[in-house]
Amino acid sequence: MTDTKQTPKDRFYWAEGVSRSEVEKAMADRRPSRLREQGPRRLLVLGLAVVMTALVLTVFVSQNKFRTYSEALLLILGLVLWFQLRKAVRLVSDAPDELLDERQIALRNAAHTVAYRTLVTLSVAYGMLVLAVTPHGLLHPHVGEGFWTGLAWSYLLGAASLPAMVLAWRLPSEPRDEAA
Amino acid sequence: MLHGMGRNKEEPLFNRIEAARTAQGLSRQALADAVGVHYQTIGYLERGEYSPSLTLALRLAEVLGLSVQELFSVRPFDVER
Repeated sequence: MTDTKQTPKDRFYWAEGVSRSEVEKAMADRRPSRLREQGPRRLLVLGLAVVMTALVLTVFVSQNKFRTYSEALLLILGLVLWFQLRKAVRLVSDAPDELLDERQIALRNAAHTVAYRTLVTLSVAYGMLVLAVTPHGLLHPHVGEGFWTGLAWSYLLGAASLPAMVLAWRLPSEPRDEAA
Repeated sequence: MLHGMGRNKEEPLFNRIEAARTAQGLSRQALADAVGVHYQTIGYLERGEYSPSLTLALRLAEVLGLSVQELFSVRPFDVER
């Protein structure tokens, strides 16, 4: 965090998907917001989990046009929820070390560990589902052509948003006027 | 205690950061700026929900004009604070 004062130039961190100014703005934000409370943050996490599940379920939609529209709508909704989650955790889940203090780095690393374990479990589940819906799989007669797009979007959304989901779930509500 | 936040969840670390900070007339933001952390981290420290690294403990002690032993303890401080 001390580095931010020494190097005021803005920079985009491609691997993390955040910019210095974006993180600094999120850290300095003291406006009252529902996103600072644990309940609404957990609702966002649940909402995103529902969207990911719904994306998986689009494999069972046999009409191509309807499935494509459903996927697009769910994907947009998922992205909106993901960006709200990132905002809710002040980008701690994605920011690089040099923009965080030691407590925030510990929080981020703990969230990434849980997210990685969850992603491994999800990978197995998605893998099994892919096997089940392939031409000779158990669910094959019930899935439409091009079934894999919903699964792929759901998996990618999960892989990208899991650290923020874990962190948003675990963080307590922020006390008011803490800077005073 | 927030999961994964403390360095040693089994052993609580007591401190008198808040008392020392208010005695110096510093806000959490001012202290946070002086030691290079986010103001929320000062709140977590004061509530005993986060145990600092040795480096941060030394920085806090320096800014607050106390020794580390005067600022932190593994046993609760007496009423005098």
